Amino acid sequence: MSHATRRTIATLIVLSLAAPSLSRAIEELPTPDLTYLEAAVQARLAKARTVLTAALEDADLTDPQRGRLYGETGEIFQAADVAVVAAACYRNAIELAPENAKWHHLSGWLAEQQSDLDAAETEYERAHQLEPADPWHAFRLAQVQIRLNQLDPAEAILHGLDGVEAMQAAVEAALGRIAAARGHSEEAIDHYESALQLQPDADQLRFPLAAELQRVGRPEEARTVAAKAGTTRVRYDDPIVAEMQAQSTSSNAYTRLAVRAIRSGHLDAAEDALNEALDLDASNNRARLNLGVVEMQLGHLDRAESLMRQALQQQPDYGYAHFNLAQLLEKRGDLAAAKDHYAAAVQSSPREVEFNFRYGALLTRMGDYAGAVDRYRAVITEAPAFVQARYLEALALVALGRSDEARDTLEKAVAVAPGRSDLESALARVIASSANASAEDGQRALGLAARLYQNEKSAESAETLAMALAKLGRFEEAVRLQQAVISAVRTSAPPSLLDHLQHNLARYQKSQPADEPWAAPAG
Amino acid sequence: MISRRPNGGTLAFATLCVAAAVILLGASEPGPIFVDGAKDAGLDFHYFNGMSGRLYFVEMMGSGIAVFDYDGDGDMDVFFPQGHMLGSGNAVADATLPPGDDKPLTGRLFRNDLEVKADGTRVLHFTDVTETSGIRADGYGMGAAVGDFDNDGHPDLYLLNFDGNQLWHNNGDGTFTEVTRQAGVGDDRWSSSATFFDYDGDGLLDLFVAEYVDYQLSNDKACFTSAGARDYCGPLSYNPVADRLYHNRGDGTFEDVTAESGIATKPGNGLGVVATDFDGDGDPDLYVANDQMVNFLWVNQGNGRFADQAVLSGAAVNAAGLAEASMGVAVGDVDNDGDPDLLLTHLNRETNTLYVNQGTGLFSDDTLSSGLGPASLPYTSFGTGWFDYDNDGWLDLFAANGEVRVIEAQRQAGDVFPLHQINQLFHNDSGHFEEVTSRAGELFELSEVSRGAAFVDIDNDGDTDVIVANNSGPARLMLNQVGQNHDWLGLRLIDPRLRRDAYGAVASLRLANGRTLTRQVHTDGSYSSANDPRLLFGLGDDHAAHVIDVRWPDGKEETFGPFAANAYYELVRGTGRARFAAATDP
Repeated sequence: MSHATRRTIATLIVLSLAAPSLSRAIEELPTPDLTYLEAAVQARLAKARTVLTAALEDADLTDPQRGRLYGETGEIFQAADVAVVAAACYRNAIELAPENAKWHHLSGWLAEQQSDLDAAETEYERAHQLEPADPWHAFRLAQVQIRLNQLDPAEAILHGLDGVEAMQAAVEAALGRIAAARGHSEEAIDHYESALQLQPDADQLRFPLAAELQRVGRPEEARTVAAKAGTTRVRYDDPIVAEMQAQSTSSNAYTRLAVRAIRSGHLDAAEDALNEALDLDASNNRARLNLGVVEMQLGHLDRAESLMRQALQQQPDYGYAHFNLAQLLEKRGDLAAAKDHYAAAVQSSPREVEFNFRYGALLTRMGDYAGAVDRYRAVITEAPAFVQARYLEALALVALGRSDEARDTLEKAVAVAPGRSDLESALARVIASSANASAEDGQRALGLAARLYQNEKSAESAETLAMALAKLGRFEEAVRLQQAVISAVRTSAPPSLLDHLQHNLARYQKSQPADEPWAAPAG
Repeated sequence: MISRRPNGGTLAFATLCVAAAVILLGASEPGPIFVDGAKDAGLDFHYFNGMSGRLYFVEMMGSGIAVFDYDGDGDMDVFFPQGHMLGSGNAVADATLPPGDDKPLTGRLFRNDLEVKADGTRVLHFTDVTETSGIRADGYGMGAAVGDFDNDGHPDLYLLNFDGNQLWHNNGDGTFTEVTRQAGVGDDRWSSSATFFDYDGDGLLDLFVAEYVDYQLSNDKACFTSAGARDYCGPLSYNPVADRLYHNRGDGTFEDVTAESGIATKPGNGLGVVATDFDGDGDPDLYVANDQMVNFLWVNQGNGRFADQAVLSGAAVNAAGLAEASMGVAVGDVDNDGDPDLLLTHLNRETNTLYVNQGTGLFSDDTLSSGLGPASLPYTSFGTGWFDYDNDGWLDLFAANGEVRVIEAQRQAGDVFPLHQINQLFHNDSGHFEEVTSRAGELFELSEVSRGAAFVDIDNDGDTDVIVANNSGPARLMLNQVGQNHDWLGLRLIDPRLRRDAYGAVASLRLANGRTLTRQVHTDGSYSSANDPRLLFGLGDDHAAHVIDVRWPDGKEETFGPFAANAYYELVRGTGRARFAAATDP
């Protein structure tokens, strides 16, 4: 007899005899220290406990009524994440009203949060037995069974949920997972694709779909699918859990919800949650700033600015508040004021990539190229593969007459991101138009430009090729090409571009190479 | 409150049956699998995290450990990174949890003075040689990597710090010299793990450093639980950072080739890294475990560039398509089919995830069927490793556990660092795992905030021991008590041209039952730790002598042996011969 078997027998002996004394009794609710919670939440929980105690004194209450009281109190405590009290409430609710599936369901949800899948399965199974027509009990049960590797019963339940629209995408995703676990890749693909048809933005499903496509030898499709994979999960709203969560009175909890909503692009939901957060706690500065950001994205600039300034009044060194206010002011055209706030943002977080990048872009717009270079270099130090920063750094360096440094940074950009035509074009132009011995390189420019022109015969690539030809003394060809470019863009190009093209053409006609790589620095 | 009590007769009978159960259990209980040898051996180290109530993100991360034979005497020595006080103006007296001893708050090097007596008994003893070693590791230590970067025969040490990494050159005389600046491998971002590996096959160990997030104390944020209580932040509160790849020039310096390699194109929240040939094309690839975002499988293109194939390979996210926490990473041939499989450790409410290599560079998330899933759900795991603790020929699993989010019950009990959990041990029975924590020994009843784990045969007796680093707690030396119940064979693979362990070499051993065991020389994996580079093959009940097939990193293949069991051998490239290693049984 193995050790495991002996152990099992011993346990069963103990439990079978102890069973009478383990049968449920109505527990006193624990009283944990809740001082770590927000004041409003503490007050809410204290009130819930007081209300429960008072209500239970009614001698005429039936057991199901008492059970409901305990259950509703459990919901309040569960919404506040006080699991120990919530669990006791649900145990009492179940003891008093064992036929009420809701408490089993929430008890199962609580067990899942505590990572006790066996207990969760037991509770969901009971809820499902009590209310077999409720799809949410069944769905939760199936989800837990999958995690317990009980694929057959899970699959049976899921097939029974066909036609429940609110959860159909999630059901298809779960069936896909079961099929994949069994190695049935084609079947898994079908289910994942069905789920994505129902919820195209559930881009998280594209990960397993891509993997299965790769497995069945469809690599091109796999790559296409993988490129669109993301973090948005399949949505389904368990109304029982949602009703419980709506009991929350935590300002920080609403803020956290809002941040998640912002991340997934649900701005209206974020706005609601943040307003709720501020109603609960007006001192929640994080909620205030996030609400300002949301209002800005929704186009409500006055309200957004007001919120951001309030956030700064509360916390003058709040980097993100400075940063977002700077962006708003820039939108409004107040560049000087925007600059001050970008500077403050960078001062609060000198290594923040986004702060430095936007600040650099503003400085370029304002013609402060030296300042812009410093900002872009701060970005590149933190994020060496941020090629856009290198590109803009190069533009600013050229404006400062430092084409050798511009070449260096563009060479690195091209090395990081080979095949990027914008970077290769910029590099070709810099080394074709510079008179600096460290920067100029006609042969390399021609190599780059010729390949770009071969790949795409555009006005831009033709102009680049003309520069390279001129650098190598092939002025007649350069002139012909430049004239063709001017002719092609004459009616559509802005005056600055036409001036630039004419300027370089004049130089070619005088047998001189270009001295301007482009019309004006981009911002 | 209503309660029901059993009557006296029921109680008496119940007591009898409980006693019977105890007898049944007592008769069958085997000895512990591991015992704690740290105190007796003098391996006395306590990690200090410098917390003072501000809930700085870095203070809950803890550190790894490095094991390496720095003095070349045939046994593994130990280096522990150390933390320091966090927050300007704070003194050690302000710490929530004081340091465990009076030693300076620097990383500590312990020399292994293992004594093997004439009768075969082993006396394990460590000496703190930090002061004489010259190592001044006063950064906020996260972990370490080991590799002989200059091929002088002495393994060097790269320290990963929250506030500036360090490279310490082993001078070969018991001392180290810091060469960070000269070598060009200083990095003041938050580095978490690193690996020395030769990606271009030039015989020189290059260096890959996994970077965590763009966090400094100056941009520390306040984070909250879903109920609004203050808690530690997670990685999604900060920006990801691109990892670094340094090419070894061979002159004592490295060149940062991150951008050119393609690795810079994908910033991540890197916490773990392993280098191994996942696709079987002969050059080492990199797997990076990213915290709460997709993992990376950087496949070596052979031209100095890497391409991330994790998504298409099926190893980027779990089977549900969800990115997981991914703190620790273990690589090894779990199913004995000759290719490297992966295990990643995650947060509670996430399973640890087993990615089984299908042999073609594609992976399958087999967590559900492996037996590893539900048992890992309640725990947050960091350090981990595949190792054959009972030498039965199947790689088992250890997980070092400790939370990153406050455990409410512990907070309620007044615990000022309410993150502690027990560690776990899983036995591999022909590819299916069973948790054996409850019979692993008293060490597994300790509830601590465990982080790094290094796997090492610390007493050279042929079974794998484990050193665990605890955050704000003492290091544990888990001495294996059961590996000796089966035969084993130990190898050290050396390339004499390079004067070092042949990182990346793969050795295979054929058992009498036809099964082939495959092991690779590497020190990386786990969490921020460096492991024993030697290979241990558990032979089970196969007492025969064995032939070993070796594929060296440059592709050369040799066969050695046959070798008798229960000894260590050094396999030297190019000779096809082997000799007994110095520290084996007499």
